[in-house]
Amino acid sequence: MIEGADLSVAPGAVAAGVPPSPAGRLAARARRGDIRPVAAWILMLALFFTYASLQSGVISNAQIGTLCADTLPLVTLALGEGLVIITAGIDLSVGGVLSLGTAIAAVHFTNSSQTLLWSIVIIVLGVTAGVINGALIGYLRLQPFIVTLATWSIFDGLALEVLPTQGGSVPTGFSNWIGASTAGIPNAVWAILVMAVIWLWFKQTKVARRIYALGSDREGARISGVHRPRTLVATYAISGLCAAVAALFYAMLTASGDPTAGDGLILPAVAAVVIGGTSLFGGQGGFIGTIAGALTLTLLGDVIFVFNLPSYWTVFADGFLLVVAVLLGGSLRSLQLRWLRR
Amino acid sequence: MKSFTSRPVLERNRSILLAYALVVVLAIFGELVAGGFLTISHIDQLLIEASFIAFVALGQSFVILSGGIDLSIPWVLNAAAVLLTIFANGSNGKTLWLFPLLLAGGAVVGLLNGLGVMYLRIPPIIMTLGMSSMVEGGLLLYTNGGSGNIAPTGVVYAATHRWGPVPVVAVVWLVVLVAATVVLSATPFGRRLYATGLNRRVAEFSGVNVRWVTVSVYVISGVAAALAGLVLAGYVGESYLGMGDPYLFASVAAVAIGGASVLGGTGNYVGTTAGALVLALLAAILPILGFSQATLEIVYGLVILVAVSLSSLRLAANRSAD
Amino acid sequence: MTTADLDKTSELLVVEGLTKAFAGVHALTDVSFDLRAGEVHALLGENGAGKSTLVKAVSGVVKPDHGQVFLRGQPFAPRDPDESSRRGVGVVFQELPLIPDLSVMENVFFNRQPLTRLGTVAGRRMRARAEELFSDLGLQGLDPVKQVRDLSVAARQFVAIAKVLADDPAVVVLDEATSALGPAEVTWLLEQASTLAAKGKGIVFISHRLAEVEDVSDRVTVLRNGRKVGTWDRGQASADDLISAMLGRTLEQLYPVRAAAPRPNVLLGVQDLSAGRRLRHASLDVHEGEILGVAGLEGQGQLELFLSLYGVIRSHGTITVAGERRHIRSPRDALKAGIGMALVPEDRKTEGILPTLTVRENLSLPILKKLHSHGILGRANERAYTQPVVTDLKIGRGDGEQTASSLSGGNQQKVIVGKFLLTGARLLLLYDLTRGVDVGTKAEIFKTVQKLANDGYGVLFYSSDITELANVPHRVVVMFDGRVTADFPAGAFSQEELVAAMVGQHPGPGPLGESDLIAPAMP
Repeated sequence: MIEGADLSVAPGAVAAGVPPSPAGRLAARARRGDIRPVAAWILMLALFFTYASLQSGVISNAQIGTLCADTLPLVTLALGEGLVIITAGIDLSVGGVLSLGTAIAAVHFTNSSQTLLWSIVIIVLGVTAGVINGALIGYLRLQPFIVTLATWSIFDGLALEVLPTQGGSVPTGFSNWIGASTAGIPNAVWAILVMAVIWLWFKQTKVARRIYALGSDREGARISGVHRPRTLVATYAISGLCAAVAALFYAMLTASGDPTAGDGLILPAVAAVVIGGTSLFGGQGGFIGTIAGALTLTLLGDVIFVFNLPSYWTVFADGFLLVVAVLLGGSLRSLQLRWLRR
Repeated sequence: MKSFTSRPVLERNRSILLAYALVVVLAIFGELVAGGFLTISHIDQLLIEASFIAFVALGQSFVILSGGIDLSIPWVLNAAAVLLTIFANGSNGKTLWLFPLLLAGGAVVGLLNGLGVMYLRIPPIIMTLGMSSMVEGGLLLYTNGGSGNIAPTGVVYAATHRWGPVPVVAVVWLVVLVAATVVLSATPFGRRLYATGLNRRVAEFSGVNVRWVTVSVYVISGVAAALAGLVLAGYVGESYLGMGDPYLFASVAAVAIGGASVLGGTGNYVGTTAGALVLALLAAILPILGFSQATLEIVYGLVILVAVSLSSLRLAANRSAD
Repeated sequence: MTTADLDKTSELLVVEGLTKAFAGVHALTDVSFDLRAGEVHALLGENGAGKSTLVKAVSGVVKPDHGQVFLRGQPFAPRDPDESSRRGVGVVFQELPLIPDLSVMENVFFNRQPLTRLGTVAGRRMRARAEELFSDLGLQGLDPVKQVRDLSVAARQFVAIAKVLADDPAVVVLDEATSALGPAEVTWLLEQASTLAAKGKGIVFISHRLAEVEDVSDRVTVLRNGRKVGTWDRGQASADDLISAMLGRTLEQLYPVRAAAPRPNVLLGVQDLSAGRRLRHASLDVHEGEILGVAGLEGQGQLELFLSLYGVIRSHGTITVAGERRHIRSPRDALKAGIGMALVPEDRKTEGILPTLTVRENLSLPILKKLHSHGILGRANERAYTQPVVTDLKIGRGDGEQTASSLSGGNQQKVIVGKFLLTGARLLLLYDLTRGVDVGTKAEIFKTVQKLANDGYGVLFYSSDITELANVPHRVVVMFDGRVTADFPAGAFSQEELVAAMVGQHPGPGPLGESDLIAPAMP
């Protein structure tokens, strides 16, 4: 009588059947899950094997290590950006934070104790940026894109103050870490694994639940006791933190400073999140898909390189992929839902 | 007769008056800090520089009024400038058809943005961000990273010439100002645009062709950005990669200073004009005080934050005063 | 014995002098109310009487301007419904604000999830607790891991109820909890209410439907226009007493004399119209000068019908206006065909108008094309067109220059209707226009609708209020399962029959019992 009702017509009736077996429960879980991160991983792996076959046909540890190292700044950036997008917001200021971070690194990372000290400064700056963003968006109810656009400008300006032109350097001990290995596994791979584990833990916490709730239904979240301003401050603070850490990785990767480094990474970060299956409308998605998204973008650049095309194609491709990913993501999800409902 | 008793009219006017007051304050401050700030020739220079901001902010104004945002402006500007200089390479011969062609190119980019936002339902930030990258990538591929061709002399002349004390560019700006204001306040299109920005659904139910309105504003933005690029190339004499970068923050800042709501539906180009003047004045004053280009970026950001915060607080005060 | 004589501490929940105004509109004025342990206290009132505002003020959704609330004698002022529930007053809201992307159990235990030592949510434990809770409530069919997004409206209602009961609060408020439920579920809910009261809880049962309330409540309080009219024990007041308390006037005063008989020609013909999942081959006619009422439970296709006729959603079938077949694919097509629609949006924030614009600017929106010469809008021209409508419908001050936001709700509705009159629309679609509007302006709206009918317009009138349907339209059709299943001329049906048709049963003694609703006014 009532369509799609999960209840029998008389609510008091006892549910029929025996509790499902573990295999049955797993199948039910799979049916409920979002297909998009899976699709992202499949896409990434397809691209990876294509690339590997073009290179030499043998997939080496070093290859994987390089791939992960190249992707590390982007994927770290995308971790925080993804969380912001889950709240149906956006954070453009991560570009500025990354620029400022690499600028500081290039100027101040002179020896190991200085490196440590200034790393902490960079992280504090990133978190501060996030707190400012979150406070303005949460307490003053301003739009995310305008606030983060403004803070992006501010931090870009600060980066230019610290390092007016490209240059500077970082200690080799510092920059070598990203290319080295520990216990036979490349450090970059470790980094991504560690971030994935932290994410999987974080996703199960109450804070994460509140973040998802906020993005899913603002009113519903408020009624359920979610304090929007505080939750947003936490969200953007995490994003700022990730941007700061991404800056450190970037400094390791390039071994020098670039005060405009972050500007070109904002779009790929958002693209990685979207390709990974997170919805721009909030409430859904996660980092596991984003990892695939980020790797996909890096691989795309590598494939373009292998085909001897000018690297400028990546700039074009990133923008194009972003738009396509938004389109496909929505369609893919509706298809899955329609298939599940049949 | 205009009714001065309805609050929205007063409301809009108040923030614009404040913006113009700020212009006056900054102009006086500039004169105090550096003699010769308010000479005719310097004012002309300020006007010209403000006009570039004003051109891109024209498009941004229309887009923001409709409830969207256009992040692709810098690269449309850059593409128009670079392509002009590459094809003309200093001579005037091809300018006659190059100009409309490049403006049409801007319109095409805007059209793609508008179609993406309206029909593919891609959020404006994402659509224009992606388009920005595509235009940038396309331009880089075409020029292979090179730049620096010379602008046609005719355009240079037009961009730097003055009629007596008044720069030609400023006159063009004035014409644009009048046209935009008339369109926004006294045409069906303007009314429909405000309706769309205030509440898309109500507008649609009232028979407004929301799709057409949305696509139009992005087309306008693309053309305005291309125009800015062409004139800028003339003013600077050449083109180079990255010349559009400062204009993204500037276009949004000008609109925000002018009192428009970032959500859409309120504000007008008269206010944006004041915003452009404020930004040009700041860009001139800061170096005099010894600050670097970097500080200007920081100031842009702070200005945007202050402007939208004030606007938001004012809106909240009005709502509780009802 | 009046409320004042009782000691505060013998009551479970005491509300004193609560006052709340929104943007100049007084939603609550000096309302006092008390609830005893073990009782079911019904709160009755028309839409817009202030019942929901009272609940929101108690549970922390809004802050009252004046007044105080006491729970067990202690001041009670929670920051939000979550805290309210934890501290003993749980509210099942009418709007069902759950979190769609989370599962049923995540919603039920939100902010109270059992945690593991690592600080993460303990999924298995939570699921077990959920299953136990659902079983206690007789809701075994509810799947804890299903996403709320995938549930029907009725199922969501159950989740909302379970969520509140999970906290085991001393007071449970059910705010229009039955609006989305069918008769069997309503019975279940009323039984639950009685059971909870028997356990010593205090239940506040809010509704605007008398019949549901009558069997189960120990006391009834009536609100009207933001004020308390009175409190009666069971049996102390008759249905008629309560109705006139709710309405503040007799039915004859609320509902104007019915409009003149409709003319014979058919204005709107709908044949075999299907759209989306819910509208399936519906057919009906509206004559010139006729007000055709549409009745139906939520989700039976009536919204899709209206949206199709107005071109907002795509449909298949035949639509003819004044004898001519029309293809309506957008609101502009509908306007061209002579159809206008006033739809009350779910959020009710905008009322279908643009609040910051003036009345004149709102009215002229659909006809801008007619108002310009050489591209420029003429103010005088605009006023010439809009002023007659402002005068005719008596909108606000009458000069058209007011800001739309300064108008009362009823006047705002008139602006919406007026907009379409200006387009030359001959047929008006009015979807739930009177929801949440206070009784005074409801009468005005009915008068306007009657006037339109007398002037020869056709009106398709959907209302969720059965009383209105009994008293305003010339005819009422019932929609069930996507089709038009019954057609009742005015005065020729009892409300039992109407309700029976709405739930898809054959006409006969309805499940809600004899003393159903209000008797229809004699024609």
